Amino acid sequence: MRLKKYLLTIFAVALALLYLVPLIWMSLAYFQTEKDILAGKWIPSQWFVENYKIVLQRAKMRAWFTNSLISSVGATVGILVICIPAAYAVSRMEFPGRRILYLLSLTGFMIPTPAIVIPLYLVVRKFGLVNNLLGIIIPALPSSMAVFILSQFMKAIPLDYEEAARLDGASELDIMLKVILPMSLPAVVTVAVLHFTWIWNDFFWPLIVMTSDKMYTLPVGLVALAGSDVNIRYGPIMAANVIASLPVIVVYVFMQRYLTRGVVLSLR
Amino acid sequence: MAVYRKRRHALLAYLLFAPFCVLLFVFRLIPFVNSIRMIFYKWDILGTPKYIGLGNFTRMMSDKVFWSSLWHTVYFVILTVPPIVVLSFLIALLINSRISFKGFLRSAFYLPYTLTISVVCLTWQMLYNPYFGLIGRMMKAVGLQPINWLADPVWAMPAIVITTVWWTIGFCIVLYLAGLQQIPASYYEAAELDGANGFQRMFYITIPLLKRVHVLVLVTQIIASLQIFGQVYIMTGGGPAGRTRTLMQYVYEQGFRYFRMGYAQAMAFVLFLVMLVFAYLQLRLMMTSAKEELI
Repeated sequence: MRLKKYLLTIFAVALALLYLVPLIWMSLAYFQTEKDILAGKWIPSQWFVENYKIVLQRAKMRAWFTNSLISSVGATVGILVICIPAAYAVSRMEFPGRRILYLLSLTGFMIPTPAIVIPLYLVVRKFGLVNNLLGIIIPALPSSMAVFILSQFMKAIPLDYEEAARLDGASELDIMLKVILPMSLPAVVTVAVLHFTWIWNDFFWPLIVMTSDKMYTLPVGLVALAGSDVNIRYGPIMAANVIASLPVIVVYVFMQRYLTRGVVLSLR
Repeated sequence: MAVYRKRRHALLAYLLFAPFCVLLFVFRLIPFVNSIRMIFYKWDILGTPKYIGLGNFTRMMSDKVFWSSLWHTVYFVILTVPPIVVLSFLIALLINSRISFKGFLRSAFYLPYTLTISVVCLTWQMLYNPYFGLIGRMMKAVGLQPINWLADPVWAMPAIVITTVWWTIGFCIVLYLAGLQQIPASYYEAAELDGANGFQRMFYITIPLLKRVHVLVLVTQIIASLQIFGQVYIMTGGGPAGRTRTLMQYVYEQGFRYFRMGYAQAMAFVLFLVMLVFAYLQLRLMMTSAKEELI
């Protein structure tokens, strides 16, 4: 039994390491000169940190990083501000048409962005938001996924809490902000992490909305960089890759516990 | 409760829902209605739209590139979805078995999913490079002729598939792990007492009880794969010779390179119709779970 456990563990760890080879290779290439990479080396002959500098100097990495950060954080905060009240209304309040509004809030699942890409682009253009970070942020706000996860979680909170608060004279808004919202924290974190990563990593929509290279987000900028400047291809691109990946990995490491819970939640 | 069912209460509920509702209409529902209107027009974004009836569809019927793009999309789904479902299930079983380092394993397999598509594709582009890429060198080491993956008409699509499977599998593993943890251990104990072997436990307990997860993974992956765009745009640009051009890639080319807005939207609409079936399944799946929650 013990032996079987050890063998299985060795097999699983070996498999995981093999699976991670592309990432390990990418992180090592970050420290390599072009010559090392072209020679197919794994371990750099000298630890070369210039790639990082080259990428920061030559490319508009700083602007792209800022754009990515503003649009991801802005959209995530906006989604919470818009979707928490909506989810609260459909999950914890009784009013005529509640069920219809709940169904309405889920229609976004049926309409993925690629299916409406051209009219969506035209709306954004009409509001003058092309080549503007708001052109990424505002269309992301009405998230059906956010309302779904939040309302699922809020529904499960027992009524006793809000009745006790009512007896103490709390208003409906007090109950939403001071009773239900703090108790829904795991769902709020799940929604925030999911949307932050989705928007940080999105490629399709920023590619369409952003027209000048100064306004690119990191994913679009990286591809433009790799395609445009043949002189800085390998090492610096890998350096840029590492820079672009870090924020999401950091968010994931800190929020992992919540994220798993959120996934379990959406499975129930 | 009756005390709170007052008009003011309802008004507040509508107010809380209103911002979301307005944004949903402006950025989802109205564009959706417009998308249906647009497919009957010819428009180069500058002039005035011209009504051409079903012109876009007759054009589509005779457009060889449209048909090949549609086929490449279906081909991509066929090649991608089964390995994702099978591999993520098997890896989840492995992580869920009696082994150590579960936390490390879970993170290791999830890590690629957190990367942006650009990082994934640029890294794999280098791995596939026939001159210094890791894969080519490994093939050479075992005496094989390295393939120029992304420039080869036959191998370009499988190369994109391998990259996609590697990238997305982590998310499905997490779904399966969540499902596996919800199966009560007593089921297995009872089966063991009855003398069921590992094979029987797998086919009579694990697989049937995970039905919901199987369907969820299958449906979400089909929806995601039908929309494939980034991997193709970044790794091959639809080449070589259009052999990896998928429907969204073609929509993008027609809409944002040649500004044939009506034609591009008509093709996006075809994709929408194909996706509708699966999106409906997904929604129903989520709604049934929501209903159970309400009781």
